[in-house]
Amino acid sequence: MFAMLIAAVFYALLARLFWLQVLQEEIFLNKAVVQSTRWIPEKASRGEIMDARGDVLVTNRPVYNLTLNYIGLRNQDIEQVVEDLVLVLEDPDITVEAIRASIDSQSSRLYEPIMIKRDIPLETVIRLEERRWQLPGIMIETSPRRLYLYGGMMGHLLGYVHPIKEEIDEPGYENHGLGDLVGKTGVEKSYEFELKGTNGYREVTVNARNHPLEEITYIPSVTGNSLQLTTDMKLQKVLEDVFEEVLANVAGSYPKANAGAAVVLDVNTGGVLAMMSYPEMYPDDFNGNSMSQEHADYYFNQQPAALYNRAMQGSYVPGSTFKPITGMAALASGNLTVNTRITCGGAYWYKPYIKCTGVHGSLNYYQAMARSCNVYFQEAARRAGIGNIGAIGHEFNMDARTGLDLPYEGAGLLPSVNWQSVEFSRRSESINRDTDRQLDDLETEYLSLLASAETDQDKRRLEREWSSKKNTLEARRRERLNEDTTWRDADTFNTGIGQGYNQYTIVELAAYVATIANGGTYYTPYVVDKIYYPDGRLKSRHEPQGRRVDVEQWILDATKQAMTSAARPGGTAYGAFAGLPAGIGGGAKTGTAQPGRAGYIKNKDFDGLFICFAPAEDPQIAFACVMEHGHSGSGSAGLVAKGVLEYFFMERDIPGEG
Amino acid sequence: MKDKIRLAVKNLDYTLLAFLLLILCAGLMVLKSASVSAAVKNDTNYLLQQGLAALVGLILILGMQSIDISRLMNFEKLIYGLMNLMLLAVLLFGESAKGAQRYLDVGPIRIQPAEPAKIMLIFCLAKYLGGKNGQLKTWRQLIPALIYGAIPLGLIVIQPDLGTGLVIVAILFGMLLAGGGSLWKLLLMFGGGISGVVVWIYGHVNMGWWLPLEDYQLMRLLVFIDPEYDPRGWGWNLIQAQITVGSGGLWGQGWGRGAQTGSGYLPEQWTDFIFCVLGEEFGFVGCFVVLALFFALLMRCLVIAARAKNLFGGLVISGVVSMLLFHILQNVGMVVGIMPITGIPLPFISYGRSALLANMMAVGMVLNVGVYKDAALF
Repeated sequence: MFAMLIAAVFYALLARLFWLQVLQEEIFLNKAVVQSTRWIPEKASRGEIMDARGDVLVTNRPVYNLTLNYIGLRNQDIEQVVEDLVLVLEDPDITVEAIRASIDSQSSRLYEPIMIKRDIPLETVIRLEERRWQLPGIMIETSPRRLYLYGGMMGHLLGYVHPIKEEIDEPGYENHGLGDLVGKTGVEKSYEFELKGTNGYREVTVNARNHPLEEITYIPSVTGNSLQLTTDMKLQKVLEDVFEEVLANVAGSYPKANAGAAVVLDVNTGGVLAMMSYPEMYPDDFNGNSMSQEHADYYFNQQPAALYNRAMQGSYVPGSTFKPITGMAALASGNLTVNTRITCGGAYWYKPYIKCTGVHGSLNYYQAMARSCNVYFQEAARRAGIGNIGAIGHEFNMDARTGLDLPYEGAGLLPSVNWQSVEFSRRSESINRDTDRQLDDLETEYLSLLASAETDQDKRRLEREWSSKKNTLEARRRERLNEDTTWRDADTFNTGIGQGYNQYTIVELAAYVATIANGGTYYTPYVVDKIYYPDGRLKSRHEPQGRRVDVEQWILDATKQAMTSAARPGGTAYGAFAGLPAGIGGGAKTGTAQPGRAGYIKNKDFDGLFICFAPAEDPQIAFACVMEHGHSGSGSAGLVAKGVLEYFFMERDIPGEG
Repeated sequence: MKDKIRLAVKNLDYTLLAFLLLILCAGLMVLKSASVSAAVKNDTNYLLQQGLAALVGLILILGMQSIDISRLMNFEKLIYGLMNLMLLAVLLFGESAKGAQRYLDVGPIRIQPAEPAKIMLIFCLAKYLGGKNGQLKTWRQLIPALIYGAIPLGLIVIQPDLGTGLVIVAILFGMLLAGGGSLWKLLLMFGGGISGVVVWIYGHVNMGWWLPLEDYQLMRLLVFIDPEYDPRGWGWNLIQAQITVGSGGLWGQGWGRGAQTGSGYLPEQWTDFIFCVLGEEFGFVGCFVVLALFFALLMRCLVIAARAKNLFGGLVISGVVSMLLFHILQNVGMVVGIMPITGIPLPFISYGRSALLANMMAVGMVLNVGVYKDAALF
């Protein structure tokens, strides 16, 4: 009986062993490998960003970090190394206790290098290198930190990076790891996947206490691709400097002036030559270190908040810079020719009798554009009709985002017939909803009053009251529907002179001017010209995306010519061109807009706008600028244009092919 | 005396001794790689310590053969009393290890009284049950025998040393059976006892009944049912043990080349979990060889028992066989995941000098029965 028992026990044990070791071997072997292997990421360096000249704008500063690498060290050695290290460093913050504490705090991940100190100065690096033989396991690691060489200049366009947060779970970010930097705005965001690079890895085996044993594989990281922008930092600097100078002067007379934006485009490609937004954004302020309250207010809370890129995220009432669209719509309608003369008597003859900037007398198309006559363009708008204005605006892409390769682009508002029908049905819904609710409330109130009424006389009185109040509400409903959901002639007149519902981004304005300037091709603006591999090979080059606008050529030519009239002596925009050498010239339109927004007092506070192209013959650049509270177009944004034009045609050296 | 030495040389069962020596050699080989990491950490040469203990054990075994242990039967009451006193002493003055009162420091020597207690109990029970001459059929006859064993069992369990307690139970079962106990009555008693314990534990976990078990012992039992229940805590041992054994495969990873063994994934791999090291480095083939040696050793013991001159000799051997068998079943079974974790070492292979000496003395007793098999000499 004992023998049977013994045999049974051994049979059971061997059977189980056979199952574990022979049949299940691979499963357990795999488990053993998985639990003893660790992957240590090596962060890739982000690609650089250069301007059109090839000058580096954004690069990475190698920061020296002092780490202690446990791989290959025994306990006794570590003690000695730590003591020696403290002696060499002579840093009051780095004591044996402090190092031991950081080792302890990382005791479960000893296979990763232990950070002793970040961003150590070069002298310390040299001192450590000299004593490397006595400091086994000590490593000086370089980790890249984003460096914006021009501070806040072009900051909005470049954007900033920040340690990755919620993006890590989004599609496309599978190759990002914890602690990676990720572009949040600007080019840094829109070209994240070019700039990022590929993280490398070290694979090490560890024992049960996570103490590293040996390195198995090493896959080095790959630096991200670098970008060459269409922008020219020298032009950008002039633009920003001039803007600030003009702003300071304007603010002397109009203290509310404190913000604005400008865009310079290459009219033949749509490439952005310069783009600014004021107040400035310094990308380094977002480098992941905690932000001071002062900075946070500057970027997020104060008015105007600096984080916002006013050149493409904000839309502005265009004022008279919209008049070329109105003019083209009138010409296209056939109800106006370039020689049709309209007489300005100081105010329009239809309601609401909007005043003009002066008494201009009899004007043709060119004269009207040069003088920016409100009467002429109200009449032009009336003759064109809002349908034609919307159609021309649509041709110039005024009702959509330009498609610029920067994130968070805003879109303008073109009060076309399409927009009206959507907007008006939304409003009538809202008016009906309001009125119905009020009628319901009234019913509830009077039903309960009637229920508690004691005499028939009271009841009759209450019923009369109720009925009268109902009628009032219904009358109000009809009045509001009539007022808010119908397009009136006055709306057309307002639209024609760039007021009313009109709102556009500065990039939209620049792209439309560029289209007039180049004779009718609408180019989608872009900021990244070329993408290079880290070894310098060209990866891709942006092909300009052009589309012919469906506007008759003579209309485009006439309008372009009309705009050049405004830039000649006697034109409202002449000031910007006065200093240029003879023969250059250009075309322009000033704008003085009443935004009707909070903070603006009617007929007192105006935004100054200016759009232009130059030279007059074979134009090269298009420009659009707004200065909030700039009071007049020519006296604010026009002066910015002057500075940019004079630099561009008088001082600027041509950037070589990068 | 000379006669006895001549008799011992003539009658000694060299087959059994050879199996024992082979197992000891295999054990030292495995211990060499199992103790590498621990040796550095604790600055102890485990291999040397164990080798010396084995040498002392061999001398003891040979020395034991100079007297017929059945002649010492008359000291049964003295030995029984001494054993219980020792167990009581460890309860009162013992040093604790892992929350249990297990060590007793006697001068410079540190002993675990539970180890010699097993041998002493086998001896005493053999005398006690032998005196019954197989009269163990009725409950009235069985109960006193049970109480006889229950006293040292109780003292061990409340140390608390659950593992050794279970060994005592196994010894009791085996010797009662060999002593003529009715199989179904024994199964009823032991089965009933085990069921009772299960119900008790269930009551403790779910209804808060009092239980003389430490939490760590309870956890060991619970993770046996579901190791992933607490994979970094108590389930860790069980999961790692299976990974280690399983990754050995048919031929093993080679002596001293076990990845799991070398990386210290297993706690106590030189004691309770040493079989894992054997499994990883020598594979199924190595495990088979070692288990075959154990099987041969136990079968050889049974052969000697069959030739014993009296019931006492047979009972001693059945006690020793029960003890070793249970150790093997429990230790290897725990490693391969068919028995709960109880902290019972693998005889002759796990590091532990008290246990090694006790087990070798147990084999010494078996050999002794073989040497003095011939009643005619007296």
